Amino acid sequence: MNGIATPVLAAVLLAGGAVGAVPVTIPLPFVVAAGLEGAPQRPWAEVAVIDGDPVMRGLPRDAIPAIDEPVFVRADRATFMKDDEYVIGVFDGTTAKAYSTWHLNGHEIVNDTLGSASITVTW
Amino acid sequence: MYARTAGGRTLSFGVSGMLWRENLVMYDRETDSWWAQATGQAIRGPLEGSALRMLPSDMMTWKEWRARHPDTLVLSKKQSGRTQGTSDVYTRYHRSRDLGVTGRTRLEGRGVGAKTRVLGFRFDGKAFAVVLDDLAAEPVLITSVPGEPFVIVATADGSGARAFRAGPRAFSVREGSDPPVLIDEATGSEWDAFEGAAIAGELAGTRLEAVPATLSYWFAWRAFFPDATALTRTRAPAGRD
Repeated sequence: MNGIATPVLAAVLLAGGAVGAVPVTIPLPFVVAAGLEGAPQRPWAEVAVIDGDPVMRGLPRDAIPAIDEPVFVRADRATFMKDDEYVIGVFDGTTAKAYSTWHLNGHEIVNDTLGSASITVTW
Repeated sequence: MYARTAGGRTLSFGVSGMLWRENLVMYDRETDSWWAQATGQAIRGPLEGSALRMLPSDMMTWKEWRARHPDTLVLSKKQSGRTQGTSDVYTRYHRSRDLGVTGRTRLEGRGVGAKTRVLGFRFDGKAFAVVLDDLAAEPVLITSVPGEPFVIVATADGSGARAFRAGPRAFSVREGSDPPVLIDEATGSEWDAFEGAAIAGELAGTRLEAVPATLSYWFAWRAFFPDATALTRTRAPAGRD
């Protein structure tokens, strides 16, 4: 494959989803979701430069609310879950917890515990 | 997935509304330091230079996860909070044709397509990625990274995969095994490949060390780890032209 020199060309290559060129088969977290189909808008403002790369602000702090006191239900009662829905799962040998990526889209972060450990699920 | 402790204290994180290297910047409410989601490193603030410990986690379909963990808990969707209407900018970003908001992300030909799905992981300061489609026909990939072989294993439906350090043992896949079973040459013990656990033989009860890994697009993994090596079945290691 030849190198792609510009973001514009790259964007064409990556156009998918609605136009059906490249079906999106898995949900993707924040870091990897760029490049999907949609109307480009850039309300981002550079607020800092770290290690040569800009930090861009697109929303006020906490506009996307992290979950701090997550509520769980047991699998056999989770009738809202669909078989083909993607989850992030974690297991400490005793307790297994799953977080729907569909749900995480609206929160990005869950501050949680697993056994005696304090964990954070990021998406 | 991280252990949210640093500097001897437990932290809680919020969404800063900022991106760096096309990646979510988190902030902690205790010190207001900024953290890069992709690496778990504090990039600014009182805890700058600290790093969160990444924990092994999975991403796969609910069906696969529930089959492995019938007693699993799952985050209730009733606790939706104020999600409606608050993420317009992010939604646009998610859907944008752009590779990222900074316009700096570049794609370079490395023999792996930009939107190829990969399992990305880091080890000993180096970043690696395994092409998920390479695991479609044969769910186990034993890599030949010099000095550090890894065992990569996909779920039955191909929705997820795990990475393990092979350590000093030489493994082969038992022909025709489904789910895949590994055999280590030295003892002939049988290993449940996806669990990375010896289930029969002299080593029964032994577990391989899981390497925290993330499902990603190749271009996105490369955006944060430009030197990432793509591990493929046909040519491993590869990645640098």
